[in-house]
Amino acid sequence: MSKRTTIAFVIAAFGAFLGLLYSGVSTSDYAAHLDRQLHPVSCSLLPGLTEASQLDESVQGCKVALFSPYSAFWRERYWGGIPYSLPALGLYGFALILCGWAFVSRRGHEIGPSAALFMAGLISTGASLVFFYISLTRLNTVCTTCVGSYVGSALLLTGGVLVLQFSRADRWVAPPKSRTGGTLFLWLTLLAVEMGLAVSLPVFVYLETQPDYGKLVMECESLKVRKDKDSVLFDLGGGARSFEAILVLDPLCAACKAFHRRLEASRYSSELAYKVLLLPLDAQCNWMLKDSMHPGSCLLSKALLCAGSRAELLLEFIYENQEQLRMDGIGKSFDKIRERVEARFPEIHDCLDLPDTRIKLNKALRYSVANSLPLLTPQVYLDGKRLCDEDTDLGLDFAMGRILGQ
Amino acid sequence: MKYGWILNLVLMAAFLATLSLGVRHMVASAAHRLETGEARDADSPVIASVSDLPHCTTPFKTVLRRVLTNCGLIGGGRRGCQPAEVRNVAQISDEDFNALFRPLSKRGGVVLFDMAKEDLDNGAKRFVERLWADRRGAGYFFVVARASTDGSTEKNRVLSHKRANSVLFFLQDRFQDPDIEKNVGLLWLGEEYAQLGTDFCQWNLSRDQVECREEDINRSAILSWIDCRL
Repeated sequence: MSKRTTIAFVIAAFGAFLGLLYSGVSTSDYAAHLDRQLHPVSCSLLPGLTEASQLDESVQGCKVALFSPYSAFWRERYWGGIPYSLPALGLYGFALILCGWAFVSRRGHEIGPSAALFMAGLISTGASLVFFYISLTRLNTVCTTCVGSYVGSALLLTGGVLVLQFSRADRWVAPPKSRTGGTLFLWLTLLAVEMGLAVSLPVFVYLETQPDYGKLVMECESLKVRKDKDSVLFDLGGGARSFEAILVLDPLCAACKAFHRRLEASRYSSELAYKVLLLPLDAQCNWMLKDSMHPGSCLLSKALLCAGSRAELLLEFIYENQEQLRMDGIGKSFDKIRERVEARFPEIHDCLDLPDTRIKLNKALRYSVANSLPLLTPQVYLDGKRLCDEDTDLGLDFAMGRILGQ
Repeated sequence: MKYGWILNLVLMAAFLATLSLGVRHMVASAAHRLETGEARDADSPVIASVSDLPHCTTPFKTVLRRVLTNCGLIGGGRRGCQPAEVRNVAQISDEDFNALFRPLSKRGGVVLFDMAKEDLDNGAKRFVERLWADRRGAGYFFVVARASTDGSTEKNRVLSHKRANSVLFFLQDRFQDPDIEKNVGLLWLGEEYAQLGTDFCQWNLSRDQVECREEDINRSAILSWIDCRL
């Protein structure tokens, strides 16, 4: 194996090491969430040297990627699904071991290992390009750890291409000891099996070690009183669909918006007839709070109750302007909130101040009391059964499938 | 040649074993935390409930329960209590009875009536609407009607009853809400029991009363939601 082939292997090995490191960190972060709790996420090009965080703005990209539907597959079959970083971990590891073997045996220039290294680079780069495209077009953010992995794959492919290129000349200088087609076939088969094992074995182990979530996702309570005698729930369309989904929302809660979006993106969304129960976390109308978490949400809740058939549009408008409306609320500029909403939905002007609207909102809150709902948002009740908070992100598709009996 | 294969197999086997153990460890740790509840948030969320404010002391609740039970709001039956019944049911003196309402000065209000009249004027109607809409987490809405000492005791008893009914009928007519039947408690005290002192003139009144004498404040109905959990 020539010096330049060795250098190409070094480049590939470095790329594989980076890929292994970053996909390992991603997998570890993902697996930590299998306890159905929230955990800090590593989001740095120097994992381990910087502190993992849960709330820091700088980790938002990684959090978005981790909780997105694109971070894992088979989510309906297994709680949280299988993170894509897990097979990537195997693939990068395979490439690194192959490089290590090439250094020790000095036989990296043979067709089998050169081709296998190139394939590993090609697959990892192809996957990186797909995920990078998804990050830019769907998630509108880039995850730092993922970028590390993309760089690793690019280096791996570069190394792989160079090895392929340089090893041709090496094979003339130092031809393989056995040049029969059978031996080559065996080599390639062995490496393909090894690559397959490296990718699939961690997936198998991951699934085998997972606890049984089937019972856990059914543990949360059910609505005691499903009948909406005071018509406090408003429809968000899909009335004729198979299952009723009651969303418990605070219009100014960012988590509600994110959860609502996730729910709509889930594979069961098309089967759900959505209804909204308002639970504003604002002491102005919610007597159960000493302090307002989202000042202004009582006003917006009344606006939603007043909007009638345009409630869905108004909710979308609130979501789109949520940050601005929340800031208005924190600044106690309720008139501004009102102005913004009335500018777009002038028909609600008179209704907002009616005692009847206030009473209706009070009855919505009393629906929560009658059902002893936890005082938190968001929540969703699927045909009366509560989706546990722990299952509202990674375990969403799995838990929904179980609750809906799918 | 053979050693190359063997070395490859050994390295790969070592890697696969390490990888499997690593993955197993990650998942098993999470599974352990899940099983033991180690990672679970110790604070369980607050559950939505009706109000129970600090003024809902045990003596207050005792009287409240007696009144609600005997005047038909708990357990069904006939609605409302008249003076003699309230006195027997509440089992407290006039002054103590009025003292129970003092913590409600900011929560409730006083609807004022003209002499010998039981009609709600427009201001009173808006006032009743506003108080009714400000339910928050309360369970019961009390209407405690009185009459001043002008005229006979019997006449004043009837007048205060009519005043209490005026409020009830207005609410039923205005809001058409079946809950009104379950939530509104009527007490009419005539002139016989727990006449109000002028300190009640400081409450929210349905009229801008220039002069608020004892006879004015007793031609009234005190309205308030009761924020107590029984």
